[in-house]
Amino acid sequence: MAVEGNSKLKRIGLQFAFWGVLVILFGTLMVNFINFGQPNQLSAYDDDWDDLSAFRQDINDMGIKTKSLVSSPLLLEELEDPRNVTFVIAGVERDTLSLPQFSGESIITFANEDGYSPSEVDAIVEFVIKGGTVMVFEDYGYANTIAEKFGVKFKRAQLYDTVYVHELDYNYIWTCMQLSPCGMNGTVIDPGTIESHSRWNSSDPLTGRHICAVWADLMALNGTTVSADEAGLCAQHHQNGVIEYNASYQMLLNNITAIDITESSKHSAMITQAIRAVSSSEATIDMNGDGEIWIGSGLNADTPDLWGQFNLSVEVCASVTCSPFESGGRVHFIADGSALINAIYDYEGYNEGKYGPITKQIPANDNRKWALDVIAEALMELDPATGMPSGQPAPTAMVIFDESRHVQSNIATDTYNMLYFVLVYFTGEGLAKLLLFIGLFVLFEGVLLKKKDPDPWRHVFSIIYYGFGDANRYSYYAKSNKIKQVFLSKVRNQNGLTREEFDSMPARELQAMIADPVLVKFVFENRNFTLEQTVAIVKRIKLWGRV
Amino acid sequence: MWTRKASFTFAGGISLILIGMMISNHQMMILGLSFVAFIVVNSWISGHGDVEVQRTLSADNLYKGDDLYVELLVTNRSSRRTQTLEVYDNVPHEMKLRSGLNQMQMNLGPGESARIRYVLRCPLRGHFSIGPVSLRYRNTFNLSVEEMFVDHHSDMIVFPQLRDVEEAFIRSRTPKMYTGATTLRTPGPGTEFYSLREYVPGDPFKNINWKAFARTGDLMINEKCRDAVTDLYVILDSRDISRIGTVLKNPLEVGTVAAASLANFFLQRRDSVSLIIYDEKLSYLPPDTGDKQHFKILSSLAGVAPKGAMPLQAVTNSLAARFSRGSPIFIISSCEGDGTVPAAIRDLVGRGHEVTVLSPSSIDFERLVSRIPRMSYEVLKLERQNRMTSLAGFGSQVIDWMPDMDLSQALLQVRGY
Amino acid sequence: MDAGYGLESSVIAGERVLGGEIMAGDVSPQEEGNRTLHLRSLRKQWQIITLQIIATVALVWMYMEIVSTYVVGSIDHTILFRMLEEKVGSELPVGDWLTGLDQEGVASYYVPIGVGLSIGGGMSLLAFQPPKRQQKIKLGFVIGLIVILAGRFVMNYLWQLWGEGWTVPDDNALATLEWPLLMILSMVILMLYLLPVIMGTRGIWGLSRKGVAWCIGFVLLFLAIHAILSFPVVKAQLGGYGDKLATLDVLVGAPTVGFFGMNLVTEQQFSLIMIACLIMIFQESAFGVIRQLEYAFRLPESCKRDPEYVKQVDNVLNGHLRHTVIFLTITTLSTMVALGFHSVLLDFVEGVTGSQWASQVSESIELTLTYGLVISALLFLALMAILRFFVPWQRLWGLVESSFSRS
Repeated sequence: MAVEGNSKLKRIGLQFAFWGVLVILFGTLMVNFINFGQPNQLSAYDDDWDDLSAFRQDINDMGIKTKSLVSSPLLLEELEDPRNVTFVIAGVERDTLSLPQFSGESIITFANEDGYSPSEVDAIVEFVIKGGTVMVFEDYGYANTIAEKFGVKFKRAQLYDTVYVHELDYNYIWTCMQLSPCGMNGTVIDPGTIESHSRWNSSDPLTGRHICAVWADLMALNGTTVSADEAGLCAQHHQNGVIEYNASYQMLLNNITAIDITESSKHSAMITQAIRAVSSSEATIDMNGDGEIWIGSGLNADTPDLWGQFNLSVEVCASVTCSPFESGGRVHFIADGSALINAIYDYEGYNEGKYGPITKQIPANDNRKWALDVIAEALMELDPATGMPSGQPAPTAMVIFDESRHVQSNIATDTYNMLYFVLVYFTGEGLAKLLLFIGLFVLFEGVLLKKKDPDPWRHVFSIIYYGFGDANRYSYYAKSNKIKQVFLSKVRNQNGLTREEFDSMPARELQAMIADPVLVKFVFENRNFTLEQTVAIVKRIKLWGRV
Repeated sequence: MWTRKASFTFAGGISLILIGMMISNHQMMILGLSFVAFIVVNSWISGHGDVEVQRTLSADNLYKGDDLYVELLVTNRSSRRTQTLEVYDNVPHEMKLRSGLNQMQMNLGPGESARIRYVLRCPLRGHFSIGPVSLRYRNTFNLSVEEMFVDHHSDMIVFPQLRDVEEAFIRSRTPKMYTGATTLRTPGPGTEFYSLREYVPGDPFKNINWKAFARTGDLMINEKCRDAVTDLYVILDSRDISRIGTVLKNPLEVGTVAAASLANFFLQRRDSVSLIIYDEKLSYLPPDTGDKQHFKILSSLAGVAPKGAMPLQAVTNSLAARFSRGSPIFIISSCEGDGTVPAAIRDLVGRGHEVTVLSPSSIDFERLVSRIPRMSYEVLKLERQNRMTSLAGFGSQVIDWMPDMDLSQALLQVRGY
Repeated sequence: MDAGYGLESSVIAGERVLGGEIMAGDVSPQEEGNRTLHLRSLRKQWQIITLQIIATVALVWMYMEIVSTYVVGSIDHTILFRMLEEKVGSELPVGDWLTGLDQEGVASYYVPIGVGLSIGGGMSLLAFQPPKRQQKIKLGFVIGLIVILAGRFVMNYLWQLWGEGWTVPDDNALATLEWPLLMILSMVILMLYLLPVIMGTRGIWGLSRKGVAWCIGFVLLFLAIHAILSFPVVKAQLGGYGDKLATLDVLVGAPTVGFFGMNLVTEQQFSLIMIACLIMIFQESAFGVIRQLEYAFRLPESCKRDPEYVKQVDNVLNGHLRHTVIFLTITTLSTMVALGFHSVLLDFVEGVTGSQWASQVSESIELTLTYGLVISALLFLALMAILRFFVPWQRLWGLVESSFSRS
């Protein structure tokens, strides 16, 4: 009983230890993907100063549906009309679960960077090739997996520029969406340095002129005026009954980095890479993040930081001109994850205290104008007959905000998103699908092997009985000595003698008692007998003494 | 608990859903969903084993080879159906099912009952227990199974068979020594009338002679003659060596039959019978008469199992002093593997007891299960013969009991000088 | 002779209660009633027949659904027969009325299904014949086929040999092979299409587990192959043949089918649900019949005649019938509700305000795609599963039942 109790305890202990270790390991794995204690920000569905709710509201006000994507960009493959969808990635704050992937060049590739898995990146690339528009706002996060596929790379180190907002601090950088940098005149932007967007200001729609400008030209040609309600996607340019498109954008960025152009991993379908905004030539990058700038002629341990002019916005297109009249989409890369946060985007509301108490005022900027212009270009309806813009959003127009890489407000929501991600990932990603198949197969095998139905009851009559004697003694009883002993006992019993009497009896008397020459010989001669002889002797012994 | 079918169905459902999502096939997803829905809907139904069980046996003491009629009444006392319930009455594997079945599949409504009847045959003596009653709820579609049991047992004793030995004692060549109860002409406990006497306080009322009271007006007591009975001692060898042979034919089995038959014969004659069983320990049942003693003897014999190696002399040394002077002693033993038998018998004979050794021939029982070479067998027999002869030489009567010999036949072979 | 006491002891729900002593001989032997559980009479019992009819109806209905969803107009037998007629240049020997060539759409399967049921029924009947008779019939059938196939040819050739001596068979002789070969080919093609019906009928009425399993296996195999072939990557490889394959819509449309005024699923989804649920109805009914008959068959002779056993088998069969009808109906309805649940969930989530997560989820694109459909369906089923702990419906039903039985 004690032994049974011990083994039971041992079993319970082993099970407890096994499950405990499994939970710890799983938890350790999950901790990598579920962030605890980090602030949630850059969400289009929250209304803090560092979220994007104002941008989303503006989009809704324009009559465009907004959606969130909580699991994985793999779902972009399911969209029917990517041409009229804009995908917004504002800050890639989280790592991803990424399995090795089968590829055309090598047998298995491993994801080098974090953020998005190779298949997710491929899904985004496919989306752009089909005509979708992507906006990527990133600084120090994990967006390089996407960026490299489009031939760009975020430096992920803070950039400091002389063109900054003096009323705030050096973290707030002015940048103009133009090829040459804008400059400062004292503490304000020098208006003389403000130019126009390099593409949107072109004269020909087919070379990338902004769609609002095209529409405005069309209406001017027709002599049409529009009301503020009819302005549709170009409402930000509506003035005095007409659309007066302005292609200059003075954008306020905060805690920014820089973007490099790199050809190494660029997808072949990405034909055009165009720089849209640059820093001044006196910008510096704190590469080692120590808060100090040490620059020199070369990059070494003593002078680890960079200085010069750096790209702050790059547009990559799957077409030659990036024009919305051409097939193929585009991606806008901005070197600041917080370019469209409520505090900057809706600076008026922020300054009024709409997003909480403020310490300093945010200056006026064109972030909103620029963002809405991107949306307008991406989602404006083109007349199927004429191919001309209508000013209104396409019926299937949609803006999808990527919430899958944002830290959530609590663990439950993080877990919910994680579960959705796992589901989409394992039913969408190549190797993950294979793993799922294998897992299901193992599950079935497990059920087949381990799961047993109870046996049907059946009464079985069985009596197991072991009544064997000691078979080893049989050979002993075939020996002459034993036979002799038995015969002598018979003689003694027959004559009613005790052992002592019998032992002390002379041999001659014994012989006379036996009275059988064969048996006498058998008793007194010490020799080996053959089997036949022994049998004969035993027979004689049996008959001996019978009257 | 889910059955294999339910596990497969559920796993299959989930797999179909996932694979359907993978290849965007609605049919697979819907098939998977319906499998899962089927499992979920069936989880709403559960059976129960909240039943009352009543078992009736035709007898709780019977003899080896008799039939036992069993009836199990299962009643659903709860307010919900049991759903499909398999009821199985656990029967010892040593018992044979002669007719009927000890299980039934039922679905009892509230208050409903069902009867299970079956007949068992008990080929082995011993103490047995029928039960517990196992219950198994099984889902209609074989998706879940739940096992329960009702811890209800019915105990019974299977006695060794009784053989008629009266004829053997009547036809015995030796003078009759067992006369049974004889009447002594002295007053005392008994059955025959001795005399009338006056009532004294303390006399049992049942002995009052009312006719005499009516006639004389004085309370008179019927005094009886004292019965003189014989104390018979039966010593049964239950050592491990007595198991040699088949399950039904071995020295212990035939020994128990012999002991039971002898005890029955003598108890019927109102003699006192004592039973001593020695195996790894010594069990002593003091001599007594009547049905109660009969039951005790049969119960003891039913539970005897071969074990141990106690020598006979240890038995006689510890108990010989308790034996009534001159009382007959039956020793039922194969006399194998015990060198103290002659000394023990000599001791008992020396004390004036009539000793009869009823010795089942273990060599011949062994031959039923093992292939003994002919010569070895003959020598073993010779040795046994020597043993029997030496025991007879000490003054006991020795019966060499062969396996194919009936008990009464064996008793007729009492060997004297 | 025995000790004499039959002791009655009873236990109530685990508590030991010893009853009084009852004299031996109380236990009566097994009785014999009018009804028995022998197979020949049990097979005709109304519950068994009903279950078998349910299984047959489910089989035919399932077959019709599959055929109308996946086969008709795409890969059905009439297309194959017409192709064959074109290739051969003459009409097939098997009549159009038998093959359904004279009908369009699903109607072309009515007579063939009848043929399938007859063949399956014939095979079941054959299975119950004595082995010798079975052998004779099978032999007769095979010989008949051989005679049909080669009879005329042999006669023709023999006549040719008689007239011309040892020569190879001429065209006339060979032409006599055309009709039987075409007929057999037609029958084989028809049988191939009707295999689920034949095996299913054989399984139901011939009490063959193997038949039922083969039927379900064929159906699932067909669905699996169709799913693989209609996968876009694979379908693209099939070229022109792939275009003819009937495929299901990827995205969810507006629901039009439902009950109690609620529209829950689309027509196509309803068709798919019916296929899934009818497979289960067919399987459970058929296996249930076989299981119960097997149990009764295995009982010893005395138990087969015992009225107690007869009564309990009745109870079990009634329970099985009840559960088959009720539970499988609920399963069908639950699946429909589960699939329509995502719109309920969407409405519910949209109404929830105040939290970032709620608004995020309410606008999530997953909910509008298949993932959301499946997740919400599984959520609904999970809620259903949990509901049993809150609704003691078995006790309530038991009270109703016991009040009925008392009255």
